[in-house]
Amino acid sequence: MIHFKNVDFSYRPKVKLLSDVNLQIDPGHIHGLLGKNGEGKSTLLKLIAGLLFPRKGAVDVMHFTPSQRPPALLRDIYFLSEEMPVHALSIAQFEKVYAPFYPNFSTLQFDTYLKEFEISSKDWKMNSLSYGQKKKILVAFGLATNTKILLMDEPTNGLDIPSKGQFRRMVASSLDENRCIIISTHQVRDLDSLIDAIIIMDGHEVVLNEAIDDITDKLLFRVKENAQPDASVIYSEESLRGVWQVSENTQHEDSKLDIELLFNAVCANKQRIQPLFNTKA
Amino acid sequence: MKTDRFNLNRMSLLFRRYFTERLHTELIYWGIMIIVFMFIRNQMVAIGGLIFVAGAFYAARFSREIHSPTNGCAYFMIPATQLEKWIVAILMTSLYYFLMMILTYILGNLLGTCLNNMLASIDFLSSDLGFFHPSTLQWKLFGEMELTRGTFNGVNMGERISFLSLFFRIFLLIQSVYLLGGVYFRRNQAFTTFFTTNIIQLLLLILFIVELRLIIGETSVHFYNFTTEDALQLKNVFQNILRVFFYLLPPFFWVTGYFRLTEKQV
Repeated sequence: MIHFKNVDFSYRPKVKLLSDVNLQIDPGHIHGLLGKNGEGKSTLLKLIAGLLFPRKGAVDVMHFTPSQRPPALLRDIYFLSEEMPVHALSIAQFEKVYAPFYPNFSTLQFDTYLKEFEISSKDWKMNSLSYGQKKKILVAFGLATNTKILLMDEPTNGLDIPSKGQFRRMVASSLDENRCIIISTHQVRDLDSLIDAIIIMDGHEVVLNEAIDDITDKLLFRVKENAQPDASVIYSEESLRGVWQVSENTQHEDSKLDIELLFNAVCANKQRIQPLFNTKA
Repeated sequence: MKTDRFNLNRMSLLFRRYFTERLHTELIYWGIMIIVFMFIRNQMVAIGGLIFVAGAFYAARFSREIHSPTNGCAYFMIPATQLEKWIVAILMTSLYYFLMMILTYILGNLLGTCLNNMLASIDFLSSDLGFFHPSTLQWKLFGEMELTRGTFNGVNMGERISFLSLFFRIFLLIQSVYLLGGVYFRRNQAFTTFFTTNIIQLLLLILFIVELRLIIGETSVHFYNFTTEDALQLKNVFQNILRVFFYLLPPFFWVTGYFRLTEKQV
């Protein structure tokens, strides 16, 4: 569905933000896009949306070139940026203005999502609402567009605790086999139970792009009271409960993925982790 | 919805988006224009200046949302072609703006004259309705029209059409330059475009003078003083070149602006 081939990108000529990125993203998953600050997560999303153009290489999204911004592609992509546009419109007006651009938009779904987010009236002016409320409206709208690709940059920022749970339920229920949802976030705990594939960026490249099942198949996440020297351990960090370890899952044991631990392990020791995966990156 | 390069339905949605989002701003803007016209309705130079200057600001600021990271994202993600978005911008800044200016001028003139008549205790019923008391510009544009007869006397009709046509062409040229400036410059689009065009004009003038010196051998030239056949021919060439430029410049700036829009990243 989304294919990056040897993509380079930079905002300034001599400072590369993305370097030789190869990436394939398939539909039917909720992808978590993780990376440190300034690694290029938002840039990656903008390249998919056609808001930025690669300096080198090619981006292919559903057989379109996003930089050409064809309507046939744009009507199947919804991008929820971290900073939201200011609309001096009521929710009803916003829906009236923007929904007709999206042929698969469902008013019923939009109303349901708004209700779930406890937005009780469509007459509310969007520019008079709080950051979190605006985000709820745009999340609800984005899900209701039923676009094949949904890109969200830090969607849980500004959401209160109950809304984060509602957000997870809504996103999970909106996924189908033809839809691809990519969520860029630092709030990994918020999306722990939601995402089923992980893309990790480090050193201006994609270092891991795998489904969670594949990750837990090859890596074992566990906590031990005492850390024993073990060649299979890839990464460990101490905590109050003991020592958290990421090791090779040679025995195919079951373990629960700890996204934060995985991220730290990948950043600390990608040379050992990458060869374990027949990576799509 | 068709997904071809140009779709009228999508364009109508873009117009609806514009008017829904900026309804209050537009109402305030044109309301202010009516009030201004009420006071300057008889000053042709001020009216012309206002139309050109306010129009330039309007055009320069029309596309300002594309320079904002957040609003720019929303704008470029709208499922419409860049051509459709750009045509909407051209129509709004040229045709719509010009028609609204004429309409608000008429309303301002009408209200201003009515107010004037009221304050001066002139009986409306015993005199022609104030709107048809001709201001200088109104005389130029519409001629003397009398309500009681409801006729247009048609004096110098050709001159008036010619004047209106020239006025509109100059307006189009200015709007096209400032619309391009609006998509090209990130900040202070109107002022930056103003300074840039002045610098370009100065450079062109210098180039023109240098060419004149090279061709004719002197810089102080007045076409109407030319007497020889060669000089008259040169005068015609220059006039034709200027005429062609005058017609071609707006489309040139629009096309350049379109390509700038397609290259714009946010």
